[in-house]
Amino acid sequence: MSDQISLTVQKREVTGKGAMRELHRKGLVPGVYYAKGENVLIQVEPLPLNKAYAKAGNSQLVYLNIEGGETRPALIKELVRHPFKTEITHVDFFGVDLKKAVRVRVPVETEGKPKGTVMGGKLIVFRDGLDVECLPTDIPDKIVLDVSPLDLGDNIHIADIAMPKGVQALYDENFAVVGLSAPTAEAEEGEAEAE
Amino acid sequence: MLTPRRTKFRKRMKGRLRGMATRGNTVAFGDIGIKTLEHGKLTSQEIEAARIAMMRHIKRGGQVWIRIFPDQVYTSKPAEVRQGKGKGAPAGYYAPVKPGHVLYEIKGVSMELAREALTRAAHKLSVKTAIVMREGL
Repeated sequence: MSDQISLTVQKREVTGKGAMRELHRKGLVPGVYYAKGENVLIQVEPLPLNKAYAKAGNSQLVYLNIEGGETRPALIKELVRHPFKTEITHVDFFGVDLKKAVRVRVPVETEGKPKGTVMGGKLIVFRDGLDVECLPTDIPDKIVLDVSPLDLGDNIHIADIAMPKGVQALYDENFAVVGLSAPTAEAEEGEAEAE
Repeated sequence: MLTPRRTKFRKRMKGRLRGMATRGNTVAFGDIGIKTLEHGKLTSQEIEAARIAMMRHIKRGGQVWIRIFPDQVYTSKPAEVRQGKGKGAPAGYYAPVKPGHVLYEIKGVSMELAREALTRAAHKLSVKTAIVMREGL
């Protein structure tokens, strides 16, 4: 777990297309906070929201302070951006119960240099993120995989990964997360063609 | 070069491009990509030229995704031909793009190298572009 990420938001009364456009013109981002049996319309300043999203992504807890009320833990469920501008159009906060397990996708990071790279092997990350189930306070920042023992043709499967305490990986099939592919004649041809 | 394997009709009406890209507007496969900032018709030649420029720069390693496909035909009349006498012959294929559409994505190389490669690719394209990063995870 990283440091606690907090964000102050205001309650929003207005709804609808025209009012939302007005809100955007004022430089605010409309959003919604929802939890079990609760639905609060909110608006938030874009700069703190951008900073919080850069740190938390979709998998880390954000502690929301809704207009000076009590602090509520939430996950950023969805963040909608303008198709080509950087501005945020809308944000969804999903309120979580700290005593109930949640399902989130946690990023995968590789560590070390595979020993098969000297023979021309290429490290391929098949999955950028892994679905895990754990308590909101136990969500890991990332899952670090040591790829140094990988030889040509070797894979690290989901079942082989040692998850942090309290974290359970969700999967039906034992899929490969990262692998070291051997150089193929086809790939070499493709490179030559690109030259 | 990218071309459709077969088409239902030889020629099509020109049409107009309106609105923004509501799909394909996020980096979905790689870590970094380029998106278009304006409407345009990217021909298979320029899509291929951009790909080659990018691949030559990253040399080996890394993975590249092309998120557009030139599936629309365009026609042209031969030089020094009077107007009329029917529509010209098919001359090539283009991919219609709307502002926000992600064109190329890269993964598996350093960010500096990927940025440089994407900039080189952007120089081959007939639309204004911007470099975008993947976010969320």
